[in-house]
Amino acid sequence: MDLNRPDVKRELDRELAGLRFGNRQNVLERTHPKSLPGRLRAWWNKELELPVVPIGAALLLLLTAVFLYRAALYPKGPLPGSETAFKRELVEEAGSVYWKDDLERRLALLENPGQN
Amino acid sequence: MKIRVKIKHLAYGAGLLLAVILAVAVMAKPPQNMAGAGQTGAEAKEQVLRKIAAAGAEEKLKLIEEYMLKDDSADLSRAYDMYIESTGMMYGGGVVDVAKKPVFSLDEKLPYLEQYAAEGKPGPELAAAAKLLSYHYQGEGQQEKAAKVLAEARKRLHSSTAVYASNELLLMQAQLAAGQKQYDTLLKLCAEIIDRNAANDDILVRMSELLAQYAIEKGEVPQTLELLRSDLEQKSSRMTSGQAVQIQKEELRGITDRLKKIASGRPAGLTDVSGTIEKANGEPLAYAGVFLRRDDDLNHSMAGFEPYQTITNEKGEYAFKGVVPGRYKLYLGVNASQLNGWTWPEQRDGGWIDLNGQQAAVENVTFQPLLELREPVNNAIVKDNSIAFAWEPVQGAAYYNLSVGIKLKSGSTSRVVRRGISVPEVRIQADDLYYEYTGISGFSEGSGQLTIDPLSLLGYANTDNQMTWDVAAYDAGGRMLTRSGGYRLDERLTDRLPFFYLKAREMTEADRTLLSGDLKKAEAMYRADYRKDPDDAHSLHMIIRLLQGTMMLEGKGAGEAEESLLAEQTRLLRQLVKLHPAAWYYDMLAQQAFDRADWDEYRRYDELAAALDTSEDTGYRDGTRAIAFMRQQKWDEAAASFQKSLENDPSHRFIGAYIALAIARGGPLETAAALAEKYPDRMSYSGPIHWDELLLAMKREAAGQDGYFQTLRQRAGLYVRGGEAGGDRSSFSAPAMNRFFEQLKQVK
Repeated sequence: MDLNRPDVKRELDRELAGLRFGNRQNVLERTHPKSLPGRLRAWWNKELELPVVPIGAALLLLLTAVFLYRAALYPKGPLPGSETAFKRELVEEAGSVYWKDDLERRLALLENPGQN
Repeated sequence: MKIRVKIKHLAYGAGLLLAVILAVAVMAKPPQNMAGAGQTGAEAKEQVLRKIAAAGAEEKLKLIEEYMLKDDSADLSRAYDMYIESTGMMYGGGVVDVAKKPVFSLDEKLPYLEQYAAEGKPGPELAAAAKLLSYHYQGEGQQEKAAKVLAEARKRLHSSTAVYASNELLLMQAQLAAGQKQYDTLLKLCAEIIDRNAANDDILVRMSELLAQYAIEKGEVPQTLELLRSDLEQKSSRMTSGQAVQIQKEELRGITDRLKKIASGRPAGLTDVSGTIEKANGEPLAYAGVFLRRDDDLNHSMAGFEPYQTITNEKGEYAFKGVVPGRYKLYLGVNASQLNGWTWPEQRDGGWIDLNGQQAAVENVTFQPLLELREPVNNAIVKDNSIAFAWEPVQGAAYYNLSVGIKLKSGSTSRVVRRGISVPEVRIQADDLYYEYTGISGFSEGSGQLTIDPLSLLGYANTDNQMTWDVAAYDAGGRMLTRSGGYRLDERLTDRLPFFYLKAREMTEADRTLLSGDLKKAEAMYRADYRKDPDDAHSLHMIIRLLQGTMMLEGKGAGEAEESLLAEQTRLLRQLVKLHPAAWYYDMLAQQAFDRADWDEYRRYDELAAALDTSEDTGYRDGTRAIAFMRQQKWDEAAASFQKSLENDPSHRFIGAYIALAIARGGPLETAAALAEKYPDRMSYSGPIHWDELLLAMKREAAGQDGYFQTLRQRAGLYVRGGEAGGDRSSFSAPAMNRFFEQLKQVK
């Protein structure tokens, strides 16, 4: 439709004669917000342009680190509720009977007081 | 490559991720301790009992089997975590199954075992249930019920498929009958055992043991036993070697000896042994295993065939009926948690139970709370010239004895270094400890060749070796009250470990060379050091130690080489006592004079040693003096010294020599046998020596052989004068006499 054509233009003007744009303020507030909620909303909907490769790599590194940390913190033991019995050894030292693992842990602690 | 994303979408994503992480963290908590996370033993038990209550009939029996009838739960020689004697654990250590299943006491199991015994499927578990029930009823004094449960279980077992279980029940029935003196029942049961086990020597020997009880009680040998014995004797001459066979043979010999004793009209009756096992706070050791072990059995591990095994009842009481005369020691089977924080205070040579036919013997055990040590602990490094030992005082203690130990290549060694300490602390000079005696020990690596352990040579002078210590408290009468050594099985009891290092001296190059294992080079270095400084007592001490080691390796009787080594050692020792007089140096000098039969010098050095020796136990010194008197043919002095030694030394290690002296002086065998019975030899070199039995055997042997006693006296005379005990081997057969003189060689 060629709006330059006088008949079309006229017709359109006539049909739109009853319409008036009354929301100017609102639009301005959205595009150039001045109030706090407006500014917050604008920030909330703000689009960021992110580089995929560096961020992906960083995330991957973080996940690996977390996993390793956990693995080091809780070495894998027998599963809870597993039915196989576990064995402990008794040893005799200086006339006393000790659990071997208990005694070794104590002695290791004495040599390396920092560890706990 | 870039992506466009709104901040709000980023935030939603982050929130979601956080939620996922939290969820994972909550669900996959770090592994908790076993036995149902955080659950107490009581809760776990409750859970199992609820499970059993809710189960159907068949399932119920399965659960009882699973939770209450382990394979070996009725084999007392295997059912417990630890087997202990008064001096500690029976084995140097042990592996304990820390079951995650809750452990029920015999009392808690009772109704379930009764149900299983009545309804369970015929098999080993049924036999186990019946045996456990029988022990329980016996503990309550219900002997009839105890016998009945065994008989009923055996009826339900198919003897063809469950041979072992069925035999165990039969034997236990027979044992009960013997204890109750129901000899008709015993004989009936024995007939059944023989019927079914003609080829099973182990069972037959165990049964003979029970019949021997009967024989002793009645003073006559039942025919069954006579037949069985001769049959087994015949077999035993054909049996091939192996530990089990060896034990069976010894068992058989014991029975034969006993029967011969009955035949020669020297009956000693049976004894009922009973007692209570408890802690000093009055808490009984309920359902612990109790083992009355014969001296012949002490040098092998706990075995199912040993005749006197039972369980304490809930009050900690136990009883053995009709125990055969002999020498016994009490052993206990306990679970690790039962004795935590307690100790069984008993001297090393103590705890013997001698049964000579008395009606009853009472043997109680009271565990005492541990003595706690203060310092030095936890690998403390002591650099001062003296070490201050301190410990918590014990109420009622008149004195304390302090022992210090060191590690060796295999095992460890410990010595009492100070006795009769009246307050709970003592200061020991580092120098005194450095010159403390350590027995030289050897070890063999791969090749089987014996090497001297350098740790044992350097002993307490090794500043790199961890030292250990312990203290025992005694009352005024010399009875041990408690000690620091005991059961320390939780963290509260391990925060002061009795370990320390003594670094008051600097180790020399020679010491380091010695520790590296090059003994030859080390010896040369010590000699060089001593040449440089004639006051260097340490190097002198070490040269003497190395000479001792060389002689030990090459053995005695190496001829001239040995003589020159000995001469050098004597020379060096005489130097050393000038620099650092110590009892054991003088003892070595005395021993060398003894070997040369230089009695004046022996007496001089022996007296010097005695003056420095702090030990109140002079049994060994008196015994050696007695032998020295014997060699000098001073009979009365010898006898007096032997008496003193025997009164003082609970091991009675010189009784054999004393008996030989009595025989050599013309005393009758009966007098000698009475001495042997009064002072049983507990030295146990390679198994106990029963001098009284040997003497009786000789008496039997003498019957009808002319000149037997003359020969015996002659040979004894040779022995007491220090000659070769072999003497006249005579024309008649005298295996008992030969054995007597063979055993005498071990007395020293």
